[in-house]
Amino acid sequence: MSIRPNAMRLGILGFYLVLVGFTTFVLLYQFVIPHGGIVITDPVITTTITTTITTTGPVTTVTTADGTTSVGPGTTTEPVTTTTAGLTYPGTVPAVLSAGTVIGTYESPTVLLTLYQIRASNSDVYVADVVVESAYEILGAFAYNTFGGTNIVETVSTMANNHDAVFAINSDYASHYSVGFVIRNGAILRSTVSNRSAVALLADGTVITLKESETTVQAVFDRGAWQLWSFGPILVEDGQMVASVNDGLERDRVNNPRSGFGAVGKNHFMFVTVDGRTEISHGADIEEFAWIMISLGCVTAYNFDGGGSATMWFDGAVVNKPSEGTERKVGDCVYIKRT
Amino acid sequence: MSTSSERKILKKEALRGLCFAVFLVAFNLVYGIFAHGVRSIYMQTAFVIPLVGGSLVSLLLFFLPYPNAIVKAVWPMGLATLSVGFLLHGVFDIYGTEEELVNVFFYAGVILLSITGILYIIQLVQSRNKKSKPHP
Repeated sequence: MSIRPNAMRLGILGFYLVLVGFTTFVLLYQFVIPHGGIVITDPVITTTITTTITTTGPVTTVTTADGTTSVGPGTTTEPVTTTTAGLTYPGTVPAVLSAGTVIGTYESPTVLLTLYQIRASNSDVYVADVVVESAYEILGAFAYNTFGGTNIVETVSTMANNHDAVFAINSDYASHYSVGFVIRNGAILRSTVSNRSAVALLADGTVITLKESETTVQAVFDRGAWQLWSFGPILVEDGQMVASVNDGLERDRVNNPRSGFGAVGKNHFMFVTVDGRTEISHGADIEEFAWIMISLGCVTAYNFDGGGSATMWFDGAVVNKPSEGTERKVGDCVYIKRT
Repeated sequence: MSTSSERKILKKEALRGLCFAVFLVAFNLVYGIFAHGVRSIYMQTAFVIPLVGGSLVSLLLFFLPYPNAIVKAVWPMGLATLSVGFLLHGVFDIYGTEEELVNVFFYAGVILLSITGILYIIQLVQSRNKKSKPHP
């Protein structure tokens, strides 16, 4: 078989042009071109304040690309009714918070939030100590209200403003992965299994952790999961540190900015952001982060997306110092609506 | 066995493979500086592809029949495709994401290398047959 040299050279040149072109396309497709995803409607939470406060269960409707509709647990015709007689923080304030500075507070009939700035692990740490009347106050939002796409990102500030939030923190960047359980605002958005461990906030205000490979998203949903985040690792279980810097993930071994979520008790949560990658704040490795959560009294704690994504927002402004100097656009956040 | 002029070309190709391997090692180190300590096994091992597939194979060809033009053209294409696949996989690993399109590089690279391997074996068999045929 013989090929003319000119044709051969042309073929070789063509191949390498295609290689460069395809490589460029893959990079743009992954990092720049927004694509895919399903639009999520916001949950409707109706709160009627009379002599007592009646909270009707939220309704979340998700219409997928194929037209099917899944509806969250709040669609029951029986309203979820709770009576609020004013929220208080149970127990005593952890010593680590007493030694810190209160930089913000928010109080409504259904939400009690105190924002602290403390020092831990050679870093500035921001802690939102939150007590809610019901787990339905803890909401999830996606950039452009779209789940599952690529490069569909917004800053936490933008998402918070768009959802009339009083508080927000970046969460698990669920759209970043192609597999793994996702339940948001009482709707199953993804049921494929990943090798990650997840955390679920149940409608009754309790928090459970789970290994995705050992259960199904439907089973977790049937237990009443209102939110399920899948990033990890799990930091604290039953008040004991379970995270390890030797879990095989480099990002967990090294000091990094961190965001996380912990449960102190029923309807009592800690949202935490650790600054990092600066002279003032070195960041925390995953074990240090777990210790911070334990020092805050968390019985269960879970690591969210960190690094440049770690962002906490309160009452109109970012409270931490994102490591890239400005807010990184992310796929989703957890927020508490202003009531 | 290759001739002296062919050996010169093979030496050049071995050197080219080595240079590309060094480039990939340097790329991994520089990328690591901006990756905040996060590493990827794919990016760390990418240099093996040109080192083994380029340099080592070129040196082996000193002792084997010189490959024909098609084999010589397609083999580096396979190596380049695989190397780019490893680099991209590394970039996505470090960023913490997955992209199925990267598999295209792995499939294409393996297919190209396999085709080249088969073509070279055919060439070996043909040249052996020619040698064993008695002259008319």
